[in-house]
Amino acid sequence: MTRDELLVIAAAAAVFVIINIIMWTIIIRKERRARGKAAAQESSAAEAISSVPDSAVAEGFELIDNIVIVHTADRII
Amino acid sequence: MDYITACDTDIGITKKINQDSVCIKTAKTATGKAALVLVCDGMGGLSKGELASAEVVRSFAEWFDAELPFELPEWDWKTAARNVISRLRRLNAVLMDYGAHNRLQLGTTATGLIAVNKGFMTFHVGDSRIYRISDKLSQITDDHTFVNRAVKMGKMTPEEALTDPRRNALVQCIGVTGEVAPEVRLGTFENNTNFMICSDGFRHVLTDKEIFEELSPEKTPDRSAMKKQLRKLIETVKSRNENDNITAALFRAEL
Repeated sequence: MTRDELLVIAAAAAVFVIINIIMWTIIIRKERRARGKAAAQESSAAEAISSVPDSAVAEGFELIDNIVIVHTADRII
Repeated sequence: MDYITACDTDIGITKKINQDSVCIKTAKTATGKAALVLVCDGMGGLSKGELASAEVVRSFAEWFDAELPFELPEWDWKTAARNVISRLRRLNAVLMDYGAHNRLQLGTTATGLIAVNKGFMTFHVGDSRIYRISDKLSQITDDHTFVNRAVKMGKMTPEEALTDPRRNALVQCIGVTGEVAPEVRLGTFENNTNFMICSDGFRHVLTDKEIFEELSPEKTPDRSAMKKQLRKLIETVKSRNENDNITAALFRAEL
C-alpha cells in the first residue's frame, strides 16, 4: 500500500469519526431538550381530586373510593 | 350490593417517567352505587405522554364528581355511552391541538368501566385491555393495533403478529389520530366476576393462565387481597424484564 493510499484511508477514517461525533452531539442535545420538556418525576402525585358540589352531597352523593394517580402537575385544560 | 376495587401502578425497571395514569372512584348515591375505573397509558417517548394520560383521567374524574350526581336521577345507558364518546373525542381534539401548538406528539390510551348499580359500560381506545375473570378469563376489549387489524383482515397470522416490528403501533389513541372511534359495550354484572383493566406493560410478559389464577375472585376476596395480588403480578412482570410502565386496576360488583 502506498503512502498516498494510507493517507486517503486515514483521512476517510478521520472524516467518519468527526461525522459520528457531530451526529451523537446533536442526538444527545435533542434528547436533553426533550427530557427538559417532560415533567420531572418528582411531581408524581396521587391526587385526591374531589370536586363534588355541595348540592350533590345534599342529595346523598357520597364518595367512597377516590383514587386519582397521575404523574405530572402540568395541566392543559 | 357493594363494589370492591383496587389499583396499582409502577414505573417499571427501565423508564425514567411513569406515563400511566389510573383512577378509581366509587360513590354511594340516593339511587344506589356508582363507580368509575380508568387506566390510561400515556405515550410519546419524552414528549409528555404522562400529561396526555393525566388529562384524560382528570377529565373523567371531574365528570364523576361534578356531573354524574345530576345525571343519575335520569340515568340512561345509551345517553351515557354517547356522552363518553363525545368526551373522548373532545379530549382527542384538545390533545391534538396542544401537540400542534407545542410541536409535540403526545397521546394516550383510555380504557375504563363505568358502573351504576347492576349495570356497566366499558369504553376503550388503544391497546390497554379489559379482562373479565370469572370461572375463565376473557378479554373483552379489542387491541387497536396495526397487527391486530392485519390479523383480523387475514393479512397476518397471530404468530407473525407476535414478532412483527409494528406490534406496538396503534391504529388509534387519544391525541394522535385525527378521528377516534371508541369501543363501547354495555352489560350487567354477575356474581363472582372480576374486571381487570391494565396497560400493555402489565400483560406483555404474563400468560392468560397466570392472570386468571392470580386475579380470580377466589384469590381476591377483599380490597387488601386485590392490592396484594396486583402487586405480586407487578413484581413478577418486573422480574421478567418488562421495560414499560406497569398499571392495573381490579373491580368487582358484589350483588
